[in-house]
Amino acid sequence: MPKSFFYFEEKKIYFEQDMSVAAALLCAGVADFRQTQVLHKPRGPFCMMGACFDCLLVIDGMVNQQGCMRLAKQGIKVKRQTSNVLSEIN
Amino acid sequence: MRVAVIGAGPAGISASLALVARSVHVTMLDEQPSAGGQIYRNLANVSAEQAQRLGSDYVIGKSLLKQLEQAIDNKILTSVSRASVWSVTEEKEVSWSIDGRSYCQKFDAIILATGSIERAMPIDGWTNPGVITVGAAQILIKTARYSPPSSVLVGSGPLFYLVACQMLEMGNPPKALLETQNNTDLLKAFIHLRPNLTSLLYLAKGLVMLAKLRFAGVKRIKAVRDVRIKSKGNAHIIEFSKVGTKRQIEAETVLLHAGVHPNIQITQALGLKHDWSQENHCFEPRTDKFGRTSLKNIFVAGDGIKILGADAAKISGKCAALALLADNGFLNAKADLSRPYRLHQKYVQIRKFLDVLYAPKDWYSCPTNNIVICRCEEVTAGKIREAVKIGCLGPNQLKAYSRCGMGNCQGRYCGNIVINLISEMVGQTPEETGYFRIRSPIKPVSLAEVANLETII
Ligand code: FES
Repeated sequence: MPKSFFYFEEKKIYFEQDMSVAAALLCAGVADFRQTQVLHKPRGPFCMMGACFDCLLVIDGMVNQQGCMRLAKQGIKVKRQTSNVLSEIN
Repeated sequence: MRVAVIGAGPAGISASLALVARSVHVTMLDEQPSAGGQIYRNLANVSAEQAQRLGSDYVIGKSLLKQLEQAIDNKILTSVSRASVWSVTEEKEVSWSIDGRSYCQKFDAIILATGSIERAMPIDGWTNPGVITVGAAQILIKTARYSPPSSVLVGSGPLFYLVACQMLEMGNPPKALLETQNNTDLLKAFIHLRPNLTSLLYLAKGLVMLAKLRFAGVKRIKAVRDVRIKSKGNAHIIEFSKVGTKRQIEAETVLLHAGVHPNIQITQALGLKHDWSQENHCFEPRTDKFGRTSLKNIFVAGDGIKILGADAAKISGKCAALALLADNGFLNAKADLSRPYRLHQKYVQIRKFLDVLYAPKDWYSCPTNNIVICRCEEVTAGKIREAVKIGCLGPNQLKAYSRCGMGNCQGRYCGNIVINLISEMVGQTPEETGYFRIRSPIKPVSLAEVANLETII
């Protein structure tokens, strides 16, 4: 059976059923999801259960999406979120 | 009568089942894709073999999930998954968001079963990518069958060893356990132990886990302190000291754990009274022994009241449901209630032991000035101390001084540390310091969603 994948920036990330976007990325060795707003440092998932909001990504053009709460779907386009969130809208 | 149960972990499910058994319709709301809470996370979807591997305490949830299925099939229970509850009011209106759409429904009664979250362990480097919680690693194991390779666990607590063992069963043992408790803690804990059967069984389980880890050759280093993580991409160097000598170890993933405490976001937003727990170093919502709050027909159940674990949470859920039924004339009160409550009390003894053994350590719960406390707004302990020095009176004023606690997580992780820092500096008790004033929406929600709020009748 062909494996499903989504795009993380240019890369294809393969995933299995029941995986969140954050889990699939971590499995693929990607832990750096975004740049923090104040100190502009790299940040990635921490709690994986929707509480810490450290896993925020841009998913299909929508900013501030919790990677650990979104199930991975075939073909979606996922991007790192930069510290200037407003600039990412459109 | 329409009842909302918020949270589909052991407490929420057993509360729901007790209600549907009396033909009361329940709407169960939960944030995750399937019911089970974090303890039975994804249990409905994992293979029998995989479930077995993760241990009997995981598999045991199957029977609860099966009963839940039946209730759903019988249309007496509505289970709403992936629902982020962002508001619960005294009038018992509940608002939640799914996939960018929000809904609001009014209920006659509510049981809050929102469980626990992991205590913050603010150390140098805890905000680096690749540093996650032990609970997060367990979620990866349960939902992605992925156990982070070459991991080092830092901290202590029952979940700490459980997850280390689960990693072992996944064929990917942790590289080392850096444990924060020491032999004095162990001695003190044993002095507190008033063993009953439940606690002895619990201890036996713990010893089996430790034996497994030892047999597998997992290195355990106890009494570590002053842990710092230096990261370069996916490579981390963990520096720590043990009896005065400095040591270090490398890891690909660092897993932190300093115990768990009740998730009090909704109970705080409702303005309920909370008491500081000396034992577990956190605020707990004030309830009677069955989970009644000061608001009529709003109940709390499970670890959301006090951390006693999944088995106790099931009984607590049932207690809350029976109290609800009794208060609303569905059953003749007292007789039914006392037995589950007595059962529930069996779990208190071992918790006293665990609370002493794994009590949070000062070196991370009152950390040095350079450490980031508020992960969202990146506020350091130094900035918090400075604010207090120039007259900041408490956690709420600290928001204005520093934005600490005002980010997306709304103080979930920094809250307790802020209390420690302020209490220490001012020389007052955590009770006197108090908590952040939590307001709805307790999860970020877009204005468009609020504007298009769909009311369910
Ligand atoms: S990792 Fe904490 S909210 Fe996603």
